[in-house]
Amino acid sequence: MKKLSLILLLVGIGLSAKAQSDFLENKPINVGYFGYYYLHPGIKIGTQYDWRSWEKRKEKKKKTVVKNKSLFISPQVGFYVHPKNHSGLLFNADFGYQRAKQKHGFYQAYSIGLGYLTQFNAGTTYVNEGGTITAKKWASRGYLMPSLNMEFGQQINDKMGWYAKGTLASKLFYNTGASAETFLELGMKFNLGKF
Amino acid sequence: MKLNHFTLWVVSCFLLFACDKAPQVSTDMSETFYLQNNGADMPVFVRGNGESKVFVLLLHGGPGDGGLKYRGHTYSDLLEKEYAMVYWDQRHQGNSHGHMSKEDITIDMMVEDTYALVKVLKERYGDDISLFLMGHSWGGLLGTSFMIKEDYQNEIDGWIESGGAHDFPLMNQEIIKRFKEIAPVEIAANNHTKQWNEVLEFVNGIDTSAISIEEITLLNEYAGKCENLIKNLNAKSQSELSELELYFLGADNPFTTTNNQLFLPESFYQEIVSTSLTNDLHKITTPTLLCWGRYDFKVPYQLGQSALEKISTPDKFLKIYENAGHSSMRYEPEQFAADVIEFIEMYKN
Repeated sequence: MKKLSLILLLVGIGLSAKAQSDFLENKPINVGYFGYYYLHPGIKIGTQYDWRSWEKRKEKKKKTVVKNKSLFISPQVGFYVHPKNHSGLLFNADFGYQRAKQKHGFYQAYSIGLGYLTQFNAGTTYVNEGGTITAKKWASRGYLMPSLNMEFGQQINDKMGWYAKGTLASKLFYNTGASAETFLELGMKFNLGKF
Repeated sequence: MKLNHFTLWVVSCFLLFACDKAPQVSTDMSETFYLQNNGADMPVFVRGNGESKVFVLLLHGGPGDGGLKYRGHTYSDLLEKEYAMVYWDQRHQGNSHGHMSKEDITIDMMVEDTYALVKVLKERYGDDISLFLMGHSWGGLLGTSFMIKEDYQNEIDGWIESGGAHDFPLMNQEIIKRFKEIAPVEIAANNHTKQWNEVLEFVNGIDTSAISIEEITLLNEYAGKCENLIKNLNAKSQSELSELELYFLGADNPFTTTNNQLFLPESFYQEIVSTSLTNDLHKITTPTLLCWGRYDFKVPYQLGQSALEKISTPDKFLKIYENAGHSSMRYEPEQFAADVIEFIEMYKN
């Protein structure tokens, strides 16, 4: 698990580093509220790369409706705090499909994600090993976290947009099984190259 | 540079929110820490008057409940004014997490967790604290298992058992007897006749020499329902606002609790339903307070009476709450808290 954590960390850092150069090519950076069970606050930062994109045109009542569609990958880093319970640091990548209406800039996206969540215990963790108690700070455990996501939003102009995203996820190898988790994200997308 | 700023930001947030503190003992303390034992990380929420130097370690029921479910009620508010209440989520329950196999979910493992937590409380708050163990329902079985194991009871100053299921086979027999006793009375009084007839029919059909798991499950379901059929039995609860506050804005996460309960292994339930500790109760030599509701159909008060006879210490008391069901602390909160306080005051350091 530690190795996996390290790999994901390196991948995350790598993608973030790549993102710096991509910003110049107008790739968006997402910054938003990241609510664990909606109410426990956090923040998430990510970016998005289109693997494939295409345009679809439809004639409707003498009007041409243009929809932009794409398959994307979105690496993200999130951090949240459930006060007096635990904090979570998530490295995650979503793979999904997005369709956007060209006219008003509204879009919907559906994706699946795979992440690695490090759950930090609140306060001191007292570890019992063979009857000896030792106090440990920043004690944590890692969980694989697959997810299902639904997002909608709008590109307001060529510089920025907004988005809302709901996530259902599961921590794997959690206790003797798995857990069910949910997150809500509300945030902004910026094309830094346009500023 | 942007990456460096981002990394610094994440680390700063982490330090801000997760920073560790030395114990903050006060008359209104609110602390969270964790116990890690054999694959489980279990949150411990300490609330109340720590300056009293009296700590009450609450063993929640279920199995599958969480410690904080017992907070925010009238009785717990009253107890928190006097003492520090320790609400602990047992392994694979409440908000506990970790990596473990089904073989790690046993009564004995949870006894070891309890013992480790007792040691931690003394390490954190000092060897001079008074420590009382309070177990409700399944927590009564866990607490009794702790009390009879080796010399573990020497670590605590008193044992409080409330509707404790320390003998499942005996408990099932007593539930059936209790239904057979109460149902005709209620039917004669024309109270919920249809429901009581249904219960009576069910218990009359049970072969008491071989009660199946399905029958045990149904007995438990009927026991829960029948509490609501008794007149003048109204459990006092907190307001809806504080329930919202407790569950959605507080330290607890009820969804995680439900999730953990769903994944509790079947083998653990099998172990519980076959556990009978009545013949070991004589090993208890520590002051003991037994609290039972007269209309506790889940764990009838006869288990309290039997425990009172068997426990060896002369410092033992049985309180029967006349207008209470399984959770006597919520039916008669003021009296329950007064009895617990009176007991603790007698036996604290």
